[in-house]
Amino acid sequence: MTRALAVCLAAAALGSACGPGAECGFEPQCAGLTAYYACAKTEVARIECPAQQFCSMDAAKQLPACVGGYTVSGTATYAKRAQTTAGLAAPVQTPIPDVSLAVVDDVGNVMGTGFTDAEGHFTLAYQPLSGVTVHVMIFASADPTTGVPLTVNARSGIFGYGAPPFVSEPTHAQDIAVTEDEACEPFNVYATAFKSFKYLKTLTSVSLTPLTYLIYPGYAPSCGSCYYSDTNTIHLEFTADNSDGFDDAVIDHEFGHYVQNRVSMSDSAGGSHNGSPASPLLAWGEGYATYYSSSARHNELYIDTFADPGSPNGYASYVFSLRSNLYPAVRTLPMTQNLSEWLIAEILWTLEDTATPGLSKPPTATMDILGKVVRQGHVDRGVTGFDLVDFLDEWFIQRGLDDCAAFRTLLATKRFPYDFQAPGAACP
Amino acid sequence: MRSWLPLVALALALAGCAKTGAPRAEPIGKPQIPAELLEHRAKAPPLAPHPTRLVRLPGGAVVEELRP
Repeated sequence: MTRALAVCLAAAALGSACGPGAECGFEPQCAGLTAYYACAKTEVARIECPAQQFCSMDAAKQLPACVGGYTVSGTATYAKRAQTTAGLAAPVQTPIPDVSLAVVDDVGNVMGTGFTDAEGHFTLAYQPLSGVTVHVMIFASADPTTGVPLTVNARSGIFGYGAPPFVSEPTHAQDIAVTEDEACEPFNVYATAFKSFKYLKTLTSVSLTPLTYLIYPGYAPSCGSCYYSDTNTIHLEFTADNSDGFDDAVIDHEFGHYVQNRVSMSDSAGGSHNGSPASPLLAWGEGYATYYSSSARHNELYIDTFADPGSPNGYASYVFSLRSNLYPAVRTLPMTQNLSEWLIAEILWTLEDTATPGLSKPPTATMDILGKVVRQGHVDRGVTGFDLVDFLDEWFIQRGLDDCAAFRTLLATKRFPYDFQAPGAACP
Repeated sequence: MRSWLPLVALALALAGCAKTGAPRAEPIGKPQIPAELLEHRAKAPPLAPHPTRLVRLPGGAVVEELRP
């Protein structure tokens, strides 16, 4: 029996016989995860190996076969530095949830892929080649089975980090501990945004389009840190003087703009802003984003840290509490007056703040109103475009008049001259 | 020549003045840190360059891998 015929018969036994009229005669081989049984110049039978299995040549039979892989297992963590009112706290190793992993050899061939679980644990199968130097690469793209469409990119691709190498063996144990700031900050962006996505999914069922953060050492976007709605991309500064990679409040502020874009809309023209009274459209857009940041983090403080070599831990903080009342409106001006973005953030935060008598609404209430403002039939009051007046009007239209008294108290504190005349839902 | 503008205006009015979400002129950034907080701090040393390489995944995506 010729070897080519033997190959053909073996392939037939595996369910990969050559089709009618095809002839055997080519070398069977592995190519990645695929076993090829060549039959004729115009036909090639092939078998895709199932998950967690890999193509390997059986030396005795000289045939490709799908076999179980080697495995490497451990826990993936990064050194998180939490924001404080005086810079950044000391680093704490923190799990990286539902993130992508690959086993890579010396020259960059990918030998297996997988994901961590919600606690950062992983077991990764890879091609069973003994004695090869490999390492685990962790890269900031979420496991698609979580429903979180999140990726953190560097300059030329998804942000990745290579763990120390080891020699391949059937089972290997190795934790991945990312400790260098230049890698920890992008993974903090990933972990923070991942948590925000999970929070958002508890508030709304709208479909979520992919969101990409862009951050890498030395990156200085012309806008500072900002969100581009046309590409659903958030750019974060990472320079020696200022990095937002550990600034969870900023990461979530920009995420708040993505939420607006997906669930509702913003008529803000964008551009720079500093809390001073500005167009009601800009104030609404920025104030909502800051509120969302606090809601997602369950923390009333907006903090933005910056490098300050003179400070004890090398960082200082810009802090604003949404429980303050520092930027009230002017009671004697119309409700179309310019407003501070902080005023908007304070009002929205107060709605769900359990410390507020008479309100303490669930965050789903605000999210629901946000989506309703864009309905057909909404009457645009206030300035033209989505502003605080539209939100307040829709609150009473959708939720009735039970909250009139509480809102009168709240808006009196904030000195905002709302007229409580929502179309069809005027407060008594 | 007959103008279509009145018809367009009528259509918009009948649509109930629905919000439109006009395109933004600029990207949306974070609140600026007040200048007085920044002006007295010392200059931080520049970030050191970090070696990276590109790894192509089976699906075609590219990872920029930072090597420790």
